[in-house]
Amino acid sequence: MLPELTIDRVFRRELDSLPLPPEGSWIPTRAASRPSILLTTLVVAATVVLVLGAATLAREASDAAAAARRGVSTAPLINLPRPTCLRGGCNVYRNDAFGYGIVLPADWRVAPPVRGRTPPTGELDRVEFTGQTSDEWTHLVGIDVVVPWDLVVEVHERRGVLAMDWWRVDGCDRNSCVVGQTTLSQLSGYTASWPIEPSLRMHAYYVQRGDRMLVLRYATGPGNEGPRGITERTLQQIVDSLTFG
Amino acid sequence: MTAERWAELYRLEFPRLYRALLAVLRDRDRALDALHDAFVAGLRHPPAHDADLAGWLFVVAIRSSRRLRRLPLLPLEWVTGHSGDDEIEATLDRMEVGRLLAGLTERQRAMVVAQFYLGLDHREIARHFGVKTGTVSATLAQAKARMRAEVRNAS
Repeated sequence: MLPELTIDRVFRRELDSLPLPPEGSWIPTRAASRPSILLTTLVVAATVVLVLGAATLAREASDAAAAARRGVSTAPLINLPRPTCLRGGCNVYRNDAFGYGIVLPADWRVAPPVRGRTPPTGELDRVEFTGQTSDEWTHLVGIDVVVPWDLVVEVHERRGVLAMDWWRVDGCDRNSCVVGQTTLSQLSGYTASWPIEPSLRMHAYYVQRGDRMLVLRYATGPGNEGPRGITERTLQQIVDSLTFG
Repeated sequence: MTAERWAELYRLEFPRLYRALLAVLRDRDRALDALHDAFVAGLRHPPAHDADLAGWLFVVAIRSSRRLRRLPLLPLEWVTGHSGDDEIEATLDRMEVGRLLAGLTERQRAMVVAQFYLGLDHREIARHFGVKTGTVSATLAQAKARMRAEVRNAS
């Protein structure tokens, strides 16, 4: 039998030797140095204001800001069929700049842009749709993080890569990638699905439009249902509502 | 609790909580992200008592690490999927504790670390994890059995 007092001591001795990150990174703030407790306090207070302010602003202004940046209209696209409105409401996102529209469940919205994220080469546009509340979303999101059960629509320069090959450059491991064909808004496309973690799976749709590639992606898991009753079927319905202008 | 007080307590607890999360998650980025999330969560809804702080932060961070996964976002780059943290894995594998924990599930590791490193008793672990004390006892018993087997195999 393992003597537990000894285990305690071994745990403390060994784990206490693990290296710590720089002290400046302990608190999630951009402050690089804290020469005094007073300044620490000020930084923390500013962090509180920023965090609370960001959450409020995200809630109140995300749609307006997205609209201003992206030329988005909440008016339904002319060719968008009404019956696709989900969960008893029409919540249509229209992206005139890149020529597509999508129908969201009534309680979904455009997530605020992730601060500090650098778009990868070739990415022209990226919009994240979420069914999670501002508080939940702000809590989850990070610079290089995709929130499970959100839907992301990206537009990329195609740079000669075909839709049927896009999965190869999209992190879909050859050994575990499930690739298929699909049709979105009467355009042929390809799908790919692959495990990212034991309990998490990425699903992606690739549609070629001239020299651009439209990519829709979402991650599901753990489990079959996300927050607020979001299921994979919810996400597939949103993807299926895609319309090109 | 004021934000200043919260930050002060968080700073005091950071070293052992970060190391506890490293032992469970075996990934520096995930450990730091999870702890940051727990800090932000505490700014909004701090725990009721200072005495609960370490256990509260630990479990909020563990939960956050499960919900928030680092996923590839770069469609035009070859992405290798979730990037392991080779250096910290190697460090842990050199440690007796790291090798013992490696054979456990993440949930077992979390409870073992909560008990043996953070010093929480079964009742505290149960309260923080939101499970029954019996569940904690059973999980820890299984974990200890595995660790004993590992010790036997190693010797």
